Amino acid sequence: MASKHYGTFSILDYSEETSSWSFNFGAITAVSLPGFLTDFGNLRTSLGNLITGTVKKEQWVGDSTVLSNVPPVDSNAQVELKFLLSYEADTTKKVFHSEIPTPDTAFLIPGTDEVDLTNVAVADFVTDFETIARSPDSDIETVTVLGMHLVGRNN
Amino acid sequence: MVDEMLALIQGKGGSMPLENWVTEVRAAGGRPDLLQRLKRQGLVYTTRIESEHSVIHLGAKPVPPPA
Repeated sequence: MASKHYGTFSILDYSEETSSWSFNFGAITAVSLPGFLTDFGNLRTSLGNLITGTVKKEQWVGDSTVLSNVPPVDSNAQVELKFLLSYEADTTKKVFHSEIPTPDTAFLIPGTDEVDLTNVAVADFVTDFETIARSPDSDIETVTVLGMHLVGRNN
Repeated sequence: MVDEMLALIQGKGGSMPLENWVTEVRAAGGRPDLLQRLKRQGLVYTTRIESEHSVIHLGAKPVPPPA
């Protein structure tokens, strides 16, 4: 069984409910740690730009940091809404899905529930995700984003 | 369309700001999913330096160093 390494961002919505988004990444070594911290910070920033909620907390193996307890001012920032992120492992081509709470619907292509991956803020998030994320099945297999869609959930 | 968009990056030395490239794709009538399709084919990849926007590069995504 391959080692698992994962990070989680907890997101606070308008009604002060919390939802989390997690992803896998490669093994961290003394050599890779500085680059990992930069990549992790980049992903936190671009995720914050992608959603309407507050990035409340982040954690990865060995780290748990409260970032903010301030609820967002946007009443549409609700954890019952998600961006469904679809991505595939670059070698096996296996497809995975992950849900990001409190999506900002301003990034949707008009008349659709599809996120515009060519928007600068979205493209930066995708770049950051593809830099740090690895397949849930293998911590050395890189991934490529296929798309993102708006979905609703009853939490 | 694909060849034209790849040649555009080649003409900039193999890398260019993603925002500018996307503008060119849109002007040429390209579909929004073109970038991810090219990535999946290993033809381009993107990088980003903190506080700067994404840059698109020709070529396959670099293999991460072993742990």
